[in-house]
Amino acid sequence: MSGVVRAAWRLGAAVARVRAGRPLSQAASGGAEGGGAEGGGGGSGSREAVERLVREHPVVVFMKGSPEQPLCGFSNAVVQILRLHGVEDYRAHDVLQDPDLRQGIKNYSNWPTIPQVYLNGEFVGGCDILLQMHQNGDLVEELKKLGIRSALLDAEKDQDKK
Amino acid sequence: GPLARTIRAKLTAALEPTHLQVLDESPRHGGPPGAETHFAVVVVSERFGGLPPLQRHRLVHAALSTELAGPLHALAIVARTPQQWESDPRVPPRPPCLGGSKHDKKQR
Repeated sequence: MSGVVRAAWRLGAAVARVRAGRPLSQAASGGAEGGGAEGGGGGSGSREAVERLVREHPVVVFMKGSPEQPLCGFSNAVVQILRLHGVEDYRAHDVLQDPDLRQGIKNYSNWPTIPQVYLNGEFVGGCDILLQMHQNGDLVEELKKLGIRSALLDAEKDQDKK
Repeated sequence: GPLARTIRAKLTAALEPTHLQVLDESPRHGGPPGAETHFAVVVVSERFGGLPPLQRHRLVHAALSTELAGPLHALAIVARTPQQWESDPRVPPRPPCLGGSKHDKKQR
């Protein structure tokens, strides 16, 4: 399994550069006005603003760059793992575009680093934890609870047929 | 380097690990040797027993909260109990850097 992930990382970087198209990130538009505002009361990094973002979708990721073009190896690992499970529909927020959000998300989860993965509004962890969940089967289970069927379940079925 | 020593000392004090690896991965992320901005730690400790991964990582973060608020820019963590480490001492490969820190526009 880890060999596949390792290969995916190398592929992912190349593929991300080739693929055109708009990034999924929506936080950039939200935080664009008044850049340099404090994180409190209504700013893009406030608790309320972050709360809204993490509840927007069953799968929300705060990362550096976008799924099409991750700008950090750890963020890319999250994108690749989700891709392996066939999860392409999710909200991704590029914290490099929004310093208030970048600090706000760390305050919200009391977690010091990016990327951060939220499932059903709940903070799940960073890239290390997601990788663990991927390797031990927990991620398939968590996705199932969200009504998302992991592509790996179908992949396994194909393998059984051979 | 000095930060590596600090990390080692704080993790040892906080978690009394039976096995501890502290690796400066900054060169793999575009920094010069000895930059001490990106670290990977392997911590094996009884304290992790019964704790899910999220809580284990939070314990590690708590021990290094000052550093994480300062020069420590990224921290990869492997946190296992001694039993888990004995049955599996492998560490997952680190993802290749895609230039993350270089994209910071003087934000730090």
